Parts: sequence; C-alpha cells; structure tokens
Amino acid sequence: MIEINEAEKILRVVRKHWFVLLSDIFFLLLFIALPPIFLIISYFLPFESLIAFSGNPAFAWAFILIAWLFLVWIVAWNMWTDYYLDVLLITSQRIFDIEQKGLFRRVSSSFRLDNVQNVTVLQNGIIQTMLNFGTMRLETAGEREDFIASYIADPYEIKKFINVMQDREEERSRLVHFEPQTDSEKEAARESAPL
Amino acid sequence: MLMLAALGKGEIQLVVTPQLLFSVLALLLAIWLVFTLVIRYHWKNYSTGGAALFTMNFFYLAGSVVFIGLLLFFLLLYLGSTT
Repeated sequence: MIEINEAEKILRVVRKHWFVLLSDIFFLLLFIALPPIFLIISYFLPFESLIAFSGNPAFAWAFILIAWLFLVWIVAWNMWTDYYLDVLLITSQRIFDIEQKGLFRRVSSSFRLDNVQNVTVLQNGIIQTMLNFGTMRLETAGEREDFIASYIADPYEIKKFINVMQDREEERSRLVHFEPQTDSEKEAARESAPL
Repeated sequence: MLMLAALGKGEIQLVVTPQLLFSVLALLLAIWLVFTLVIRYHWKNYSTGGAALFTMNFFYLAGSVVFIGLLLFFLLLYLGSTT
C-alpha cells in the first residue's frame, strides 16, 4: 500500500541507522534483567506467606519467567516493526517519507524529485561522524515545509544519489521527443536506436 | 490500606494453581494472536517486501512457537506435579 504508480520504480530504501535501535535494545535488556532482580529482592521479602504453590514451585517459576520473556519478545517485535517501517523511499520519480509511529499511526508524504531545490546534510557530534549517520533536510519548491529525515545511515551517499537522480530527471524533462513521419525518418530512427 | 495491612500480616495468600496458569496462558495467547494479526498486516501492506519479509515472518513465527511450546511444557509439568 505504498502509493507508487505502476511506471514508478523503487530505487532506494533508506532506513534509520542501527544506532537508533540501541536505545530500544537497552530498554529490552532492562526488561530481561527484571526477573533476576525480582529474584534477588524476593530473598528479602516474605514471599512464602504471600504465594503458595499447589505443585512444584520450580515449574511454576519457569512458566512465569517464560511468560515474561514472551511478552518481551512481543514488545521487541513491536519496536522492530516501528523501526523497519520508518523509511525514506527514493523512486524514479518521487521521494516518499514514511513515518511509522507505533502500530496505529502512520504518516506518509511525498514530493517529486524535480521539486527538490536543496539537500542539506547535518552530522552532529562524534558518534554521528564516526558511525556515519545524520539528518538530511530536503528543501522543496513551493510553500510546503521542508522534509527532515533524522538519523539516516550514510547521508552523504544518499544526498549524492538524490542529486544524480535529480539531474537525470531534469535531463529527461528537457528531451525533445521526435516522432518520425516519413519512411526514411523511421529508418534513421531505427538505426540510431540503442540495441 | 486494609489490603496492604492484610498482605503484611500474611492474611491474603495467592495460590498458584494450574487453572491460574492456564488462564495466564490463554490471556498471553490472545494478546499474541491480536498482535500477530496487526504486525503481519503491517508487514504485508507497508513493507517494501522481498526476502526480508519472509525472514521476518519466519523468525517471528518460529520464536513464538518455541515460547508457546515452552509455556505449555512447563504448565503440563506443573499440572503433573500438583498434589
């Protein structure tokens, strides 16, 4: 359901840098660490008087631990989906900025490549410079707001790619299409056509 | 406050029965099922597709099956050990 035309081709899919995922991973590690922390705390609390088991407690605790990890697993996939669906798509005609916010909020905007007036890349700080990611601002013709793609990987290479695509699009729009009329013109067009 | 006081005195005790664990499992399965439907819909409709989609589906479903299997395994062990 990415709203591209049939004639349009996806040339590049740009995602955020993996560094963005680190904060999510730390959050998950904290969740995974919670059961051992709970176990340590339980030594100091009178749990025997609060919880009673009708069977072997080891099996019940194993069940509870796995149930907890299963929930963490679901949260992890939610985070991954959020990251995976947050993309900047460069097609043969347009640039799409798709922002996934949680599972039920999605913003998709697009603009034509020939509307791009200026591409600015901003790398801020040692981590962004060393790991080669940053923010890309795309200024477009008209009164609409600039597009800002944050924390994208390899921004200079993408800027170069957009510039090349823009040049190609501009060249294509300048081409004058010649329709051969006579037989000799058709013959000449056939001979000059690339194989 | 009364409840906290009762907890402190050990007057309230939670008994972990196999029925309780079965209810927890049923709740988890319901959450998982709804979540699976939602994310697979997202992947199918909003992703750029290709091999990544297949890999994601494979790992998600395989991991989930392992978790559900382990939950069932320990639940059955607990049920077997119940006096």
